[in-house]
Amino acid sequence: MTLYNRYLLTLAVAFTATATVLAAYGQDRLDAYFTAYVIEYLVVTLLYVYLDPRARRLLDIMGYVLFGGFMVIVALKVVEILRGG
Amino acid sequence: MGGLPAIIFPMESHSAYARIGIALLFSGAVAAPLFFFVAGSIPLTALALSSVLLGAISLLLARSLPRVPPQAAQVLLEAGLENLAALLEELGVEAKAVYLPSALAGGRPRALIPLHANPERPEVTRSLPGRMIVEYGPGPEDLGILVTTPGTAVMPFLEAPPGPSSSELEAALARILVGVLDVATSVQVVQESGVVTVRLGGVRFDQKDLWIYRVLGTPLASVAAAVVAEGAGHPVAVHAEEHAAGRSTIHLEVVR
Repeated sequence: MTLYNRYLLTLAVAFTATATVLAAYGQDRLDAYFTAYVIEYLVVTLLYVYLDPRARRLLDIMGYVLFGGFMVIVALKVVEILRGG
Repeated sequence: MGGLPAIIFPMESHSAYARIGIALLFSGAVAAPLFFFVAGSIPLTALALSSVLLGAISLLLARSLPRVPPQAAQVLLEAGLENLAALLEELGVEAKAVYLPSALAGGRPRALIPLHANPERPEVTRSLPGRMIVEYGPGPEDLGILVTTPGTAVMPFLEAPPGPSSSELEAALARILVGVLDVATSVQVVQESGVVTVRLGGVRFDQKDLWIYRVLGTPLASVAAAVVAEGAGHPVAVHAEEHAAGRSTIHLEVVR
């Protein structure tokens, strides 16, 4: 199995396991799932340190986009708390 | 197709990654609103969202695949090595090659093949000119051929020259063999009294029995020897190789 296949398979297993576990615990907030996915993506990509430099650059850009999404979720939560929600 | 669509759907890459990526991206993008608004299921929506993410990642990986397929690269490599083998056979050269670091081989790590077989390894103490036939010592028989090897070609993939310690050599070899060439899944380097042992796991490379391998070592050994020579800053010779069931062990001798 090639390095890219292992990387994709690791992410697929991690995402599916997360969705299954959170669903089993009755989690019904989409932002919780998304946050878990972002953390898993960043950790798995960091662990695959020997990916091709070109692939790593592209995946880093994807990481920035996902982290941006995560920051939006955090900002919305902060606004919600400040408004006393 | 140009601009953003060309970035998302690369025309040149009809690889399995691109096809899987497009399938996952579109199925996830269609399923997510259906699960959210129609079925009202957050876990299923999250699953569709993960499909979108995996699709986007697959498309990014498709864009970074090498433009030359691995099979084509192997054919080109074997053709080059067979030409070199024919040249060496004509010259009657049978001595084992010594891999020189870039500091001793005119700026690029290359392999020196002595024209006269000697029981002693050739001693190279000064930088050799970047020519094909070189004098590496003061004696009349100290003539050799300086050749480019697979190890030479992969060296630019390292961002910085490796250090001499086992961990630094291991990191450099893993970056090349696992990350760039994707011909092994694990690399272990052990150094003991002038012998560097490189153990490779999950090897995916057809090790044919070419005559040239007796002189240069297999391409895997060539890469290992070039990286170790560059890291150690000394000439390195392939002492022995063992290949069995997806595992390779390469013993390299550092010539000091």
